[in-house]
Amino acid sequence: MKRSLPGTLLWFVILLVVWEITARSGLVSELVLPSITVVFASFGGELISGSLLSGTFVSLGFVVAGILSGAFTAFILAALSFQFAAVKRLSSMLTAVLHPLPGIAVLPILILFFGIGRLTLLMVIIHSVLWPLVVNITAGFSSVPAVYQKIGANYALKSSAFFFRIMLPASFPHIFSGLKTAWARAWRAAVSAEMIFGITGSGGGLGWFVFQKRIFMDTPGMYAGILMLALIGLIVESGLFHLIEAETLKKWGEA
Amino acid sequence: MPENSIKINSIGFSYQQASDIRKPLFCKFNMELPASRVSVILGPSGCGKTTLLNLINGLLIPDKGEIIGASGNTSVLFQEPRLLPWRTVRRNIEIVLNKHMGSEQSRATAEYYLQLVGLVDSADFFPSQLSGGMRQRVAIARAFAYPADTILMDEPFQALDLGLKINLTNLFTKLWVEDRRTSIFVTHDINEAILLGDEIFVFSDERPVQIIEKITNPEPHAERSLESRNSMEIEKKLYRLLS
Repeated sequence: MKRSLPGTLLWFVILLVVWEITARSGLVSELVLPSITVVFASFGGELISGSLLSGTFVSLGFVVAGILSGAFTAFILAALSFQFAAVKRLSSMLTAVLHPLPGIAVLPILILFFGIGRLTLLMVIIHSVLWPLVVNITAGFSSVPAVYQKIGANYALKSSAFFFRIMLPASFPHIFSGLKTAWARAWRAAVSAEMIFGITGSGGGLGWFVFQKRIFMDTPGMYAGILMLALIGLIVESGLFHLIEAETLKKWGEA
Repeated sequence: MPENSIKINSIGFSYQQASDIRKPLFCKFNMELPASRVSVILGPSGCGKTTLLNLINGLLIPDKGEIIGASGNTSVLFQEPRLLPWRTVRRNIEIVLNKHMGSEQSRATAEYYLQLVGLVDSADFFPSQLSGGMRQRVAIARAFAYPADTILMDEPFQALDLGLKINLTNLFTKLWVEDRRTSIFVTHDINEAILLGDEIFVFSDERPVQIIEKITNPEPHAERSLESRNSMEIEKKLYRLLS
């Protein structure tokens, strides 16, 4: 469905006005719902101090590392499943059991194995992204039309050229869909795990930032952190993914 | 370009499905497709024309006999353009060339054939941005650009309207006279057979397949027209054979 930007903005403004009226009416304590201007001021202050940005970079760093490691593993598993029936059965079984498990649910097991630290946080994110990617990449490889395989055979492409120039791009719609799911799950898993872990290593991520602000009853700071979480989600999902889609699937006539 | 013809020596072939109790498609089948000529295989749908192309192409292996001269080095033009949607027009042609030549030569070759089919201005478009006729022109350019000894065509203009069909038939002739490569054109359209074929092999409608007639068209490609006396005589003959 086509989205109308002015319409969306109008609703956003209405929401902010309702928020501001409620906050100023005194019906709700400012410790629960501070004025929007105070939240924005806190957001600006935290930006300038650098704590909000450093938290954002820590979280994004974990998510990017998790997605890259998960994608690498998923590609290997999907490629082996495509080649060997036994691996396909193993992969199907693992996916059926582990895909529905939320990242946070496996956290206790991971803590037992790896303790509390960066590695465990990374493993939670890898778990969150691996299974949707395996499902989508496997589906992508299996759904490459026979016509494309015939092109490879007719023009005698080498197997590496066939994989990188035909199989991979032909599977891209599925891979892209898997990446979108992987991002959404990884971002949520990272923030949730940070709230449980607190600081890992040199500094905490955005989840920790929000959690810490709540503990110290810095409600405007807490809302500023949540605002940043929403902004990052918006930039990646409505900005980055839309851009990639416009430059690939839409140009290819597959969106 | 190859000097040798393609010889099909006493081949036998059937699809070997358990449910298929019919006679084999090919049995002791012989045929010689002359070098540097366009051989048209004309026959009703389902008579085995595409199977023969796949046998020549090496995608299918005959149960008996042998095919000499094709040596697996063939370029195929299909009924649908079969372009890769994620590659631009230029890169759709280059993908089949990279294995055979350097990237600069691939680019120059692609450019040359794009010029011949009149699509230089659309070189950086994706297939989804082209019309059906333009896509088939890219596919023709790709088939000719590929350094194969033989070009195989499986009813490439069948799904197109008459104007486009005439347009692309002329385009094929224009490209073909450039290097006169051995070409095999499968169709069930009599007009295409007359305009393109130097030799027209008419296949039977029964199993195993038989060549019921071989007609040679003496008219040079550049002078061919459906209104000429020669074409009309061939047309009459073909109608009689196929009806």
